[in-house]
Amino acid sequence: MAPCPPGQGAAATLNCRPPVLLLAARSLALAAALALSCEAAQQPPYTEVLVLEGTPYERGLQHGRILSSKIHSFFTQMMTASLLPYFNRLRAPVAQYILEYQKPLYDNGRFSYELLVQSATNLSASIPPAYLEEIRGVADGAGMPYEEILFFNTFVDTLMGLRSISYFLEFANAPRLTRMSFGALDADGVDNDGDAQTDEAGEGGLDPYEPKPYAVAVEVPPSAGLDIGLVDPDGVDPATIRVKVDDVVFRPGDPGLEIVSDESGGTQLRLRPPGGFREAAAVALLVQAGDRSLATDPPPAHAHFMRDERMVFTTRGYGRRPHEVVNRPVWDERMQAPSIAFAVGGEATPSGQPVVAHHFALLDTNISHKHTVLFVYRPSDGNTYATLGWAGAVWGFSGMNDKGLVFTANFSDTLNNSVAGQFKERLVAARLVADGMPIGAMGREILARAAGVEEGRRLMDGVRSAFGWNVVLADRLGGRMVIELDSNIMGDPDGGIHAFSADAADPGSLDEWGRLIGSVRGGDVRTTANFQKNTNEIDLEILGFKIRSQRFSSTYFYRSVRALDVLGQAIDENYGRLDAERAVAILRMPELLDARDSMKAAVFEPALGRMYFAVGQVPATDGPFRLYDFATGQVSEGIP
Amino acid sequence: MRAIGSRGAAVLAIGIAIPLGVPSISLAGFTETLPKGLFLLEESVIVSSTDRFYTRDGKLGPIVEDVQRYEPGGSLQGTIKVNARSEYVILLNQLQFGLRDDLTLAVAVPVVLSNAVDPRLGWESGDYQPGLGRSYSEDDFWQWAASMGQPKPGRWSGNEGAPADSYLGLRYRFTDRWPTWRSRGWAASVMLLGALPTGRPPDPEEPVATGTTAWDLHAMGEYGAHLSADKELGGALARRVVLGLDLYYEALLPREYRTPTGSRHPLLLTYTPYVGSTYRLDPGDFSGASVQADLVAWRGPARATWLSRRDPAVAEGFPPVLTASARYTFNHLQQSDWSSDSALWDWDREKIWRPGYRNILTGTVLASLLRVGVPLQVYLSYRNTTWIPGKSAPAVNSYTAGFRLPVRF
Repeated sequence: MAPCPPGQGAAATLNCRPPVLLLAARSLALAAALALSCEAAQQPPYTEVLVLEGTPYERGLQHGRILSSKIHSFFTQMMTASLLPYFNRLRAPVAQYILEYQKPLYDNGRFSYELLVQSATNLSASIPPAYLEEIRGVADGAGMPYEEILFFNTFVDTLMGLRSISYFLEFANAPRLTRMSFGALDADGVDNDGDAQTDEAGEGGLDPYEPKPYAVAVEVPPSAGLDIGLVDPDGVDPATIRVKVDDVVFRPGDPGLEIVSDESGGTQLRLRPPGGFREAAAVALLVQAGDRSLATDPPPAHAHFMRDERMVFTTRGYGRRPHEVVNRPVWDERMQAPSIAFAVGGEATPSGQPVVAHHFALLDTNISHKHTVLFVYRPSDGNTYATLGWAGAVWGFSGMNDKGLVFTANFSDTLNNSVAGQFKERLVAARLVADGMPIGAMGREILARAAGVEEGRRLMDGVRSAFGWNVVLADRLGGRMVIELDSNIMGDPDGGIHAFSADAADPGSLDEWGRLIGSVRGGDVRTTANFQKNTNEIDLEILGFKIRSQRFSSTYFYRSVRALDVLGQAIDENYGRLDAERAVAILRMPELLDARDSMKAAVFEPALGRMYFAVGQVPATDGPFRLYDFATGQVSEGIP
Repeated sequence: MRAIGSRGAAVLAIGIAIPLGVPSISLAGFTETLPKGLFLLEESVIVSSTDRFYTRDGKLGPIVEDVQRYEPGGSLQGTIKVNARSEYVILLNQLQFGLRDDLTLAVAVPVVLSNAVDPRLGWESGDYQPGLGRSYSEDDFWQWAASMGQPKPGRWSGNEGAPADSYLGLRYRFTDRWPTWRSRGWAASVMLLGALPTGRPPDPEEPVATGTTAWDLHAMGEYGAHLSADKELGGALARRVVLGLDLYYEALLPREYRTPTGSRHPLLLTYTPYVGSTYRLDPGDFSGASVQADLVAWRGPARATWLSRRDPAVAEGFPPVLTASARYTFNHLQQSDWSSDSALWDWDREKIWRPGYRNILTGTVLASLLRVGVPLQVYLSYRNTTWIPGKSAPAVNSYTAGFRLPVRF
């Protein structure tokens, strides 16, 4: 349309338009088009699927190049801005005991970084060279220093060891529960403590007290009182005492709780709940207390607090022996499940074919789930296998190979770890570095080289684990096994390897009462974050410190025991119907997941070459379980 | 630690709408221009504040979402409640000049008089912490953070005396060429505007600092075009009511920023290693429409004074003594596009600055003393974005007080 000739008025505008109007109209049309065409940005994928081929270095290089952005992001957010400063807080308390950390090398916030680099270097001596080459490839591909990618691949074992030691030192200064007593139960005609003796002296309690995964006493009269002894060199602060009986909390001054302190730092709690304990019931008890000291470093200032001690006892009429009553605390926010895994097959599944499920929880902090990766390794020789991991890490905590062998690993918090081993060997001259093989490397080795459970198990022989781990191996032929690993710092003949397989004919799979360990009916094995077989993994004294098994020291112990029981119950209730969908349903049970630090979940059908995985959200199980099919090499929709 | 400023400093900085509308000295409207040779000096103070942001669902929420904090590998420490409030006081200096009766040029130079952001951090305790023997109190938490080198972000103030982006505007009332339009009470104009980059970006190392660029103020684009029309009603409302319509498109230019290094806030702002030393932002453009009604509340006497060269007819042509106007503006916001070395980091910002809109209501009362021989106009204005909900946009309300002085040399 032609512009208006000069001097023409509005009458002419039906047939022509002034240029400026035309320009404006066009501009607005363009503007409208731009505005309408503007679509909302889409979330980038939090989960990648990466197929890696070639030599180890080439695989690493592909990994590093493709995931460079996420590797930088994950490292910075998880390490630089979270874990490194967090663990720097331990420098002062650790340096009180270990001379190495008083050196200037560790000043200016360098403590955790230096420690992790030293530990990574130490661990690299036990890592097969192929994985070190792969790590080097990742570093080169991502443009990051090799040492950073190396310690990124080894920090879990190191920090778990360091964490266990720091908690141990914290609790060493805190009140200690020394004894508990329900009074004289030596004339009730019942074996209250499950020692096969009835009414022997001292039957009404535990002196000294020992944490247990099952009931501390049974058939207690509901009207009985409970006396609990606490000691602390600085004295127990009565104001910090909290006792919880099932859902009822008793604080100082409450009716039913009397607190008596003596001059020597001892404190007696006399619990007499109004109306007594519930009748014919399993009663859950929680005891908390702090001392009169004030720890100021690291801040905030606080008294030394003992680990939450939890125990269960039964009242008259419940009718079970102590080992038949699991120490299952009442659910609260602190009871969130740690990592869980189970393998079922045979009569447990509708088809008889094996199913394995795993949910790993440790540390998300709104970071990890955005950096998840399904790695499919196709090396030029050996098995093809897939692991579920993270950008920058060359291994994960679960995976499966094309031979139908499944590997899963849960940490098992123990002081029988390689970092504590350094302290045992060198005392105040120690460096808190890990040694042995990181669990991820062990998993890769098994998936790369083994075809079945027994073969995978044999690959662990002679290999020292850097930390405590509970591994599940299961294969397409129905083999399934739990292997509990520690660092064997005591030099035990077992080598720190304790396996059970739900085989009733195998004495090694039975507990002291002749029951299958970690199995409800034999067609299943399960594990969480505590040892079921390796229950006395350490017992020694160093410089006056008594170092004992995880049931005495681990903050994961009670919730792990609880999760193990809940999981066993779920398996039992679904026995015979445990296909992949039901396995997913179990993983999604609220009592079996850590809603805050859930990291990834997977269900495997090894006989079918299928791996369902859920990652990229917290909890991981909130999302769909996508399917990776080894036969096609494709990822597709799996279980919504 | 998740960045407190996860919505970006720009959210905290939003604030003002610079009324570069080339205001008239006659009855208000979208199409008014100055008589040829007339200067109009305008000074106004804009007070703007916000502590709310419209979510994607169209609900008013805090500018920064709550931040849940976890002990690494442990339980919930607590929730940082961020009730941030951003305030600007800006002196807006404008000078307009009538190049022709139908063509006016304007320049606007905003200067920040004061600017502050108070994060107003609160705390909701989380789980009982066995190691502490209590839940983290707010003080406990910030001691914990301080032990890792992270100070508690406090109130920030700055930018005093700093210019914001300046603007040049040109309005052409093209319908003057067609007497028929005028005789029927219609007028139409186009206006082009462009910004001069005199503003400054926020300090990247401060989690709650704000800047003074057009993006920081988030009220206007950096260049744009308006197509406007006014209709003076007839009959009983003749010379008393003008209705106006304005269609506009304003663009914000892509820009590059320095990435925070975390030198002062290591847990909140250590971005450089994965974001890169700089990042780019294409903020997305504004578009929309306004409708306005101008009402002559009191025309007032028209005295023959020196200003009208003692001519009553000229005085009668001066603006009414008291006018009021009400305007509704629909302001569409495009999706922002952040571009750095980390798509994840980009997304954390893009998901906040998504396509959205705001509904802006503006009321103005203007008193003009020209008819009585005093070359002065004074006005008060209130701009509201919270009476009608918006979406994915800051909710900013502002007050403006100003005066205008016509000058002819």
